[in-house]
Amino acid sequence: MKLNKELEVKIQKFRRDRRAYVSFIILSMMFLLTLPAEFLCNVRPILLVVDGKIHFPILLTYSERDFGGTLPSEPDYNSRHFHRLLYGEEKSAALNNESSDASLSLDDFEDSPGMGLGLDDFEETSPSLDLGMADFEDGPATQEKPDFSLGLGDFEDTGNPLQSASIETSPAQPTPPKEVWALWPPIRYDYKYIPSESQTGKVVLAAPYETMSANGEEVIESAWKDGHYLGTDDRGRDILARLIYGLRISMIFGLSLAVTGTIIGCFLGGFQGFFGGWVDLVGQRLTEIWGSIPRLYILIILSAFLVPSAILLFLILNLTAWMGIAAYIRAEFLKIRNFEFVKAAKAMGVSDFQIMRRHILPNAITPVVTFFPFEVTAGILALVSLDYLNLGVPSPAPSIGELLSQGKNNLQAIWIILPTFAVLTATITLLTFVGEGIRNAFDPRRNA
Amino acid sequence: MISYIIRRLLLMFPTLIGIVTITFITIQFVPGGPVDQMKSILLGHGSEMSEAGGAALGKQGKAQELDPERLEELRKIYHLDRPLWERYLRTFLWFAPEDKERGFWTNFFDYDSWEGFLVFKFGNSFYRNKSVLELIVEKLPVSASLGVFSFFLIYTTCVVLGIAKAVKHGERFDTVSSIFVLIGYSIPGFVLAIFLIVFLGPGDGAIAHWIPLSGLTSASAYGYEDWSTWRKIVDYLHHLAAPLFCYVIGGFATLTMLTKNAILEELRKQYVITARAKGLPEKVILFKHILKNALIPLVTGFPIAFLGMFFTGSLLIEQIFTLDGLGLLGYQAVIQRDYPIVMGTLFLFSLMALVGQLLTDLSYVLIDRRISFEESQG
Repeated sequence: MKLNKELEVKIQKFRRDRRAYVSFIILSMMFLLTLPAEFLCNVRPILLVVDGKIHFPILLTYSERDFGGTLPSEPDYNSRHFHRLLYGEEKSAALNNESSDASLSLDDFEDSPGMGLGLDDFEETSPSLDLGMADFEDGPATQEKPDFSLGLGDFEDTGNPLQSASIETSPAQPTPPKEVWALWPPIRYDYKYIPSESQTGKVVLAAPYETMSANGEEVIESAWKDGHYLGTDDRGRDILARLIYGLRISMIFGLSLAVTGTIIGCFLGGFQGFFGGWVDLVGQRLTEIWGSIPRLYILIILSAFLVPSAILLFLILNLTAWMGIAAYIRAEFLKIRNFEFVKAAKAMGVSDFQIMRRHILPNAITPVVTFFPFEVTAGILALVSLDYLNLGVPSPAPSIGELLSQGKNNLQAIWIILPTFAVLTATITLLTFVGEGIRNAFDPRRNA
Repeated sequence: MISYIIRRLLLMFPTLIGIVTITFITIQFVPGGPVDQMKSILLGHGSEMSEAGGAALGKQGKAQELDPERLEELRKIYHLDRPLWERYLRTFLWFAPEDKERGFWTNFFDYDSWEGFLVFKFGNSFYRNKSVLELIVEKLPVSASLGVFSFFLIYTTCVVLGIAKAVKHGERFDTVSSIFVLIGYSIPGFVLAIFLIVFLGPGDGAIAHWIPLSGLTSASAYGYEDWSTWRKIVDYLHHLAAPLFCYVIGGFATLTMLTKNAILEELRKQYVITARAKGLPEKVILFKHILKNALIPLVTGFPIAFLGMFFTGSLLIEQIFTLDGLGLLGYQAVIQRDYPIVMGTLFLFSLMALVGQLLTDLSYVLIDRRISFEESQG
């Protein structure tokens, strides 16, 4: 129980370090907010009530027939076609009501704990939005605020002439208007959805603010109207959604890599350190050999055999992730194994494994704890840089590294790089602060 | 001491042999090897071959129409017609005199009739028509520019900053500079590089066009030969500034903190108290007594940093600023399966690292006689 008390003191100390503690809280909030990414950014509504029947498109897959359509496949909930199916043709006036209803429910949703708030924060911190708004206001045609519900209304208005045309040509088409109530996620796109239609007429590489075309003649409307709050990448995918999903996968990746790396490192380093002598010598040579073969090389060779995926990448990075921690654990074990209590335990006939686990490891745990945040950082950065080089998880997967490389390849599209840079560096800076705090709290030698 | 050095040198051999063996084995059994690659290039798929990963795999089927004679020739060039053990030995040391009539002993003492890594012959690149050593020498200026400048920049800045922070420990200057140093430490260099190139580079979205297009000089610019030396130097520094900044930014934190902590530790020691009691001015205590002891941990890092500064290439930063350095060379070699380059650079760099490690350990002993490696073994 002595250990617990010590741990408590250390945690107390960590909490008193304001910079580290605040960083830790912000970081965990970021993580908790991005965890339900499916509910933040999705092309499917969370809840869809049609004629009194409740649907959960976000969880279950429905076919278009369930909503009175003809196709057996899943509908594209964002498409004009689907809107026509639900709201009917003539009901454009009533539809404004409906959509404002939807936006109301959206507000409700944002009031629900944390989620909406975090998202707002998120958008405000990313500087591209400020820029976007400023440009936006300079633009001539935008007196109205780019509100969500308004956008929807506009949508129907522009669609109108087309729709009436379709009524005339196909009399069988008009469907009776339905009682519809929908609850949408705040962002109506997910990380891989490539919209086929947009009211601003630009789907690919759309800025969140008004821009001029390359020859400077026509004004390209802001993608904000389409609900792309941070614009789109060069394949028309929503950047904010990709960022949120990408941040989630990066953090999970970094965390799990650090966990497994620490466990493997403890085993190997502890084994080497405890037995010492020849085991240590041979182990060190093997580590040297293994460490000098570039990770990239292993990665490319393995991906020649296997299909690259996040899991494979995780396994490959694990091959080297343990090395730093193993070196420290080895040194600690080398030192501690000569202590009196270890010798006493040995004399009493405790098995080697028990000595390592019960007696040495708790005393060698300090480097493990202090290195953990830095291991997480290393894991995140490894994933980001591999994705940047296009050697990471293949394309449709959400990835921050891929966003970076898009930013590099489209130098004019600063709205890609700004939020990505902000999010990535913020995450890593926070992690570093936390790591410093933990190191100060746990490492007695640093208590200057 | 001598026996320790000899033992360490002997221990290097198994490591180097292990490295070469493992790379050799993987190269032998991985699809998309040199012959496959060459076939694809000859059949006109060259441009596609630079694609990463499994790209090489799919192309094998198309390569079948190649003339068998030509294939045999290819296999000969890469020694693929030889048995496996011979190829393995060839990578280390091989006696293959070209001129059989000169007699055995003349050939034996001729450097040209030996090949293999142990005599520092790494063969020729598959695609670039140059030897591996030539390629490394060619790319060295870029890596060395980055390395040498960052080495001096980091060491000077860190020592000064570390001293200042130790003197003002706990004051506002200390806290604020700590935050900046930590932020610099946590911003990954290549991410910063992308940020800089988007906002200060040649693109349309840039605020100012400060970063030049590519390379380390404007050698391709019109009339570059006629420029004055001064202008050339300025141009070189101009090209170097941004990559160097990204390269260096993360390096400050560790050394600064190391310096600061070392000085703080010394400050609490007896001799400092004695010196103070003697009435020596603080400046003398700091610069004459404390620094001498506190900088030991910095000095021990010197050899490996010095060796490293010529040969470290950062692939990502080089790629972003389109510099043609060692990092990029290694990456391209791996992607194109240019095995002589891969194995040669791997061998050379591992050797450097091992020697550097040895020098570091030795400098520990030289500086602090109390450290002894003899007893710590076993």
